[in-house]
Amino acid sequence: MQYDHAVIGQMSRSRRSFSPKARHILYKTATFLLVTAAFVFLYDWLTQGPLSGILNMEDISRKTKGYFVPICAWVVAAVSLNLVVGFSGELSLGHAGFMSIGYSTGIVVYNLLTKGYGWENIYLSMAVTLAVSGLLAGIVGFLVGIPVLRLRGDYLAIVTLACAEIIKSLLQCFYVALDTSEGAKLLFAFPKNTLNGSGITMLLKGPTASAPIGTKGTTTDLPALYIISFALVILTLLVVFNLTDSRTGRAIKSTRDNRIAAESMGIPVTRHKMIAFVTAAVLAGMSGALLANKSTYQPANFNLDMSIMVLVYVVLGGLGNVMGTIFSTTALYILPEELRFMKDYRMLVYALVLIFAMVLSNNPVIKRWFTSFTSLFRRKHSITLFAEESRNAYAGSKDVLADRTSEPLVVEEEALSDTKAALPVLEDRVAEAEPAAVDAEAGIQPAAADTKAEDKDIFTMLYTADGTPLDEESMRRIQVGLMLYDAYGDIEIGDVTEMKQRKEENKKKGRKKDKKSGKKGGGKA
Amino acid sequence: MTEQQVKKVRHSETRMVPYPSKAIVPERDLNVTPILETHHLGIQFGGLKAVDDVNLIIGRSEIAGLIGPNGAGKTTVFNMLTKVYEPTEGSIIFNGKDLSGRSIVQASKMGIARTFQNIRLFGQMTVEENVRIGLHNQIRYTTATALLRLPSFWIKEHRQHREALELLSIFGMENMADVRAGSLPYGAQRRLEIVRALATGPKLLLLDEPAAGMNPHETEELMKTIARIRDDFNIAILLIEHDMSLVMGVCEGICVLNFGKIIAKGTAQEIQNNPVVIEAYLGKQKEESLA
Repeated sequence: MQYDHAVIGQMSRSRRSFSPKARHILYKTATFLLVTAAFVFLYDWLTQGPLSGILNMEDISRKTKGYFVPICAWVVAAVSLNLVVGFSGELSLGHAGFMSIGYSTGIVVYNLLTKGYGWENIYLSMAVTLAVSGLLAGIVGFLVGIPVLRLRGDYLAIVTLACAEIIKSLLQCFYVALDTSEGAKLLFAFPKNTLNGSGITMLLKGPTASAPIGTKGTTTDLPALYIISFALVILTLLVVFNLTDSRTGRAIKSTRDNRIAAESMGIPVTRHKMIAFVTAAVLAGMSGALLANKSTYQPANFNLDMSIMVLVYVVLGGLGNVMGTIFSTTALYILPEELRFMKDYRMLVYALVLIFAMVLSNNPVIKRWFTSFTSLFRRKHSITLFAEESRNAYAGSKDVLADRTSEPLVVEEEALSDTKAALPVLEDRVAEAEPAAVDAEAGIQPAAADTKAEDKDIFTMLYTADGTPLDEESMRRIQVGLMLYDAYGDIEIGDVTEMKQRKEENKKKGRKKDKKSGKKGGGKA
Repeated sequence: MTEQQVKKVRHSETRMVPYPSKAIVPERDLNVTPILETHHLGIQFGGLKAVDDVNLIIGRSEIAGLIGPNGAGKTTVFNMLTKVYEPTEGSIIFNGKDLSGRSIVQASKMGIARTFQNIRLFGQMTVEENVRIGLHNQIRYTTATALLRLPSFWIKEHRQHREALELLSIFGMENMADVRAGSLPYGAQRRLEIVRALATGPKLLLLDEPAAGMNPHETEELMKTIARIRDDFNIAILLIEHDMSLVMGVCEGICVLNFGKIIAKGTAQEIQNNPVVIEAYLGKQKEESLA
């Protein structure tokens, strides 16, 4: 029995929607614009430029002023970790280790340049500092990566954790001083502090707090730091976007999705995981160097807590989602600072907010709301099925359909008429529905049978919104209708009686065909 | 692809002649070295000999079939050919070179591509991206080129895009290029796997149950496409399949595996009439006619 003739139509869903490629370009552009807008606004506020004059804003407060640079540093750290966790799919718990290397290197290099060699230009000296910090962190990242990337999954996570601990322990007994008595000279001591004498400035002081860049140097120049931080964020975005949208990036993503398949396609898995890992280490080193401004950290601060914190930013922002990471980092950095008035309850409230944020951001209803909210980026194409394809899929899924309804034939007919009535509403609902749920529906395969709950959600929403809740039976009918709808594209039902006639004819034809090619008769032997 | 060509392949007019050893290859492939030879290939998992003494020879333009009951070791043979498993016995000579000690990636670069029995697509990526990953070693540029977005990046990306669409057109899937691979129907996913494997520029294509989950109509289409792929790309194809209509229709040489050992080799007719095969492979259904 074939139903093909009744309802085959052309699918035309392209209206009002961008192609995924265009949407991706929009997403990237939006990310850049967002960061730029935030920077322009804050920079203008800080320097009391023309914009704040127009908006009639008062002087920026001391607290607000201090947010931008560390947020930029954490954004860079989080986005780079997203490259490892989100794009290459390996859980790294040692990101703070690379940051601490950048932090220490940054202090040494910057002070050497400004105090030792007397460099005046803050942009140039910061650029060199960031470059050297990134380079050193990258080298360490490569060395760490050699053993780490031979492992998989949980083992990999634990070993990155161990490596970060090693870095932390080594830095805790590392002493560096700058000797300016005769030319500029760096003095090192390990593992005990043997540095003393007149005319030396301690830069790294082992386990105790090091001298951050800005204490006596010139980097208290906040507007310049704003520009440098902004530049670093833009650089990070460029690196991450350019890397992920390329041959290398696709290879990295393929190793995440399916390791064996990637290898069979001739992609050296370890090499590509290494590229992601080292790039992330370089960026983390740079973020550490940026963090070395004004804030005083001890090597002990760069511990598991900090790695986990960055990981929280990433997970809340969304794995592989750069813009989300920027949002989550900003929010989660500001939140504990703004909660300071709560004193002892601060971290408790912070933790509670975190739990709620995680739960809410994984709630399908909320996700759907977000999807409809950001309609520009929604993935309408993912539910597009093509008439030819769907017919074949449908032919293979009759059993599934039969499982769902005791009398497939009758129900189908009713479902069709119901569907027609509901079609305009259905279509929009389907288009706006959460992609994953629809994906599952769209591919009419055995898996689709398990998504009843998801289906139900959509229909409950649809009909309670109209004020007429559906009973189980009609809901099921609509479900079948939707399956057909997806299978055939736009449904052209025409006259029901005409359809019945056609079915009768098909039945007659079918009987003859059945004798020739019954499903179980000749297919396999 | 004309109807005639299809018929030529399906009715197996190809004459299979003995290769100077234990195997047969199509006559047209006799004057060149075979693409694949295995000698006494075997693998042992602990105490279990999963595959034992498998000798295969596949000609450069041959469509060969590997059949056998469930658990006969067919996929294990595939895994050895693609170096997922290192064989414990025997050797694999691919394109005149010994495969022993080489990695999966090296085997792929030498020209062995495969599809998987349980589909292994990159589900979160689009159809086109999946094919582009197949093109990874075909159209190359460095990471630095990508980071700096040099002109050659755009040129190569465009070439990848064009070639990916061209490959997708084999199965008429160009219009799905932007769909997420994981949301494709089952049959389309199988076809995409074949396209992706073809993108790696193989000399030997291994298809692991390409027709699984397809209806008879789709299987028929697939059969034609397999023949067309062989003709267009001029490659050898080795396929595992349970659907006898496909195997008998398209395969020139067929090899039957049971309990890890080869029990019969020959053309479709020979296999169909081989009493050993009928007894061992089909068991109780032997009175039914084949295909």
